[in-house]
Amino acid sequence: MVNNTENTPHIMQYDFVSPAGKIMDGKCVQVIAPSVEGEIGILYDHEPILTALKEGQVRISDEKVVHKVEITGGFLSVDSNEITIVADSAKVL
Amino acid sequence: MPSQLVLKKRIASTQSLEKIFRAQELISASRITKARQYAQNAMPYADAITKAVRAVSNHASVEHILTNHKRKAKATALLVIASDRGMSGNYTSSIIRQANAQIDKLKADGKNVLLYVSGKRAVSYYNFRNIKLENFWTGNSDAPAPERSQEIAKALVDCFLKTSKNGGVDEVIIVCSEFVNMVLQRPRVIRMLPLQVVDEENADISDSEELGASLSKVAKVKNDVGQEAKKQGVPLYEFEPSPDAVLDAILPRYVSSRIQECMLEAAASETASRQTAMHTAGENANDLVEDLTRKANQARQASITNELSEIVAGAAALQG
Repeated sequence: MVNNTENTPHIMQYDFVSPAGKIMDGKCVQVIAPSVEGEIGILYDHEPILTALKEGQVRISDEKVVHKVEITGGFLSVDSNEITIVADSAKVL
Repeated sequence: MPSQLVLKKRIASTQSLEKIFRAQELISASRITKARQYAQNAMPYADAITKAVRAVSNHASVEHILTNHKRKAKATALLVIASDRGMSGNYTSSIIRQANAQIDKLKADGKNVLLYVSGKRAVSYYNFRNIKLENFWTGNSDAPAPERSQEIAKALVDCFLKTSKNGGVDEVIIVCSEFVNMVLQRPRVIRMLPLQVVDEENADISDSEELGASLSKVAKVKNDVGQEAKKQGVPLYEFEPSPDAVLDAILPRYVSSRIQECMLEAAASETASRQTAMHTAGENANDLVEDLTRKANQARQASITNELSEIVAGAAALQG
């Protein structure tokens, strides 16, 4: 990876969508989501994964703040540092 | 020749009707914008789901009950998506005609048909004819909420997952409207379940031409994407907790997103059809007003001529 040097932060792209539309998108350094098997944390260079989500809270941290979103279920995919979170319904806290 | 008073009344009522048509037309025009907005909002979600489904279907072993179409279909669930309100020309009637043709064909094949209907117009059509509906939804057909599609998808998937003995079905077909453009909307038939995630060669195209065409189209899209993905080297995903569980999570959502797509397209078709119908009605009212005005003028002229000739005749009699 080109950006993977000591002083550049490891930034991933994320998209958060629900049937009502796009909830948020942007850049982040970490995503924590309630997978059906327990919470899953995604950091830079995570392997491609497709996982089902259960009801709970998704926490997306960019460099400054942590966005918290309450979801009722959905799934999450990670693919070459692009995270897609698909929620059945989402409430930004 | 009707009297002037009657003609004047008719002109007034036609004019007020014309105003109503004009208003309806404007309302539909603004609803179309809204429908487009809804469709746009739903796009990222649909894209994300479709991408995920493709990712899974690229995975070697896609075996899921929702994609399993080996079993011979004995019962079919038919979802008819129509409108809640009239004043939209032949929109609902063409959908119902298509649905009835489909029902007849399925019955001729010896299949049991369970009807699921969305839209008040279609519901009252079937209720009036005492045709049993398995389930129905009414309200907001011109601005369908995602929750409604989820509800419909859940009902259909549940019905699909039940065994035949318990009143389950082996396939799900949707009859809805296709939005070709602002002036052309036509009914179409989509096979929803079992889902098509196989290559074109394996696609079951023994059904009707229309079904076959749409099926092979779907299969082709999948195929194209599959090849494209292979070219781009789509990574093999890790599935958590297991491919099956992930499919369990994604496929029902895929169904609901596809149904939402149909509902949105139907909503756009409905409003477009209403706009066209109202435009035509407004024009007709205009023509009618013109026609009636001419008649009223004629009647007025006739009565004046009549009066004049009476006066002239009276004067002539006095002179004579």
